[in-house]
Amino acid sequence: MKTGKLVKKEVQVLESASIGEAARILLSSSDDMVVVVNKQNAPQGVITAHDLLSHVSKKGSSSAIVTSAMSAPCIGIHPDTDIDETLKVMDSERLRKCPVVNDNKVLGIVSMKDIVDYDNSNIRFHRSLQNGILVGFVLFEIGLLWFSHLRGVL
Amino acid sequence: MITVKNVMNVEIPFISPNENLQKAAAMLKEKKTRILVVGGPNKVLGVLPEETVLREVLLNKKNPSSIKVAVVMHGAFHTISPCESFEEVEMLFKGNPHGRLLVMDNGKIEGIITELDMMAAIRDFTRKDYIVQDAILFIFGIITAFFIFYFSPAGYLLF
Repeated sequence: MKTGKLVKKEVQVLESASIGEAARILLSSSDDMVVVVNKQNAPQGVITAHDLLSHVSKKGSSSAIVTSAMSAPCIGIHPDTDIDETLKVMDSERLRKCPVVNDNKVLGIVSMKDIVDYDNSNIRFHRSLQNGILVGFVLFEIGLLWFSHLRGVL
Repeated sequence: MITVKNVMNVEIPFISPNENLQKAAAMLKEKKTRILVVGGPNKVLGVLPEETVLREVLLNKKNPSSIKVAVVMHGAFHTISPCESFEEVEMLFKGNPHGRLLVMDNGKIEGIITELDMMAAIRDFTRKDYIVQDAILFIFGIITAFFIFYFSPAGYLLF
């Protein structure tokens, strides 16, 4: 399964906005990152809670321009990346959500919850199938044993 | 049964209540964590989530080097016992906006469990379960194939 199949719309902020504004958007959304775009809506970078913490630890001002703290170019996962690989990256970076990027363009974001939910629903379906086959095998074997007992084969 | 102990993160990022928010921000970034535990292993005074640091400094425009952790930390926090079942964790996360629980045993902190840890555990558990069931299915498949062969004309000649 490709990561691109689970992409959702991202939260954005203009490149001229302040870090305070980016923080307000980030804290009010459930996403872990805000995509910084220019007036033409082209992505310039992303800003995460860790970028903001880095800014705070350097005693940066909240009125500073958002581009001074963002990660650029856009870091992210390619839409053709397998979801297992995406999960590994998200695990190592401790991210719940991650941008999906192709040719330095943000296509959206992918969340770990969506991947895990997809994974679980997939596994649940296969498990039901396995259970059905297993029951079939057991019934078939009981039938054979019963049949052989009647015929005196065993 | 999966318990909290099997899933929790035992590396607990502690911070002193006398440290300032600038230091707290640096620690949160360095340890790649979303929450700091205020106090020590034997006495937890509160928690400091990253949202609080960002809100106080960037939205309320407070000076990070002059605000002490003790002033803005959350004294009330969600806890869970290390022996609790995984289902209990899932239920508690539904009512926990920050998605983190402190694992405490007799007033002593044992670890932290986050929503990410929980999701990773669900993932690992369902995958392992899936592999085990595949193995059982394979064994039953072999037995069934043997029975079919046993009752076939070729099996009749052989046995």
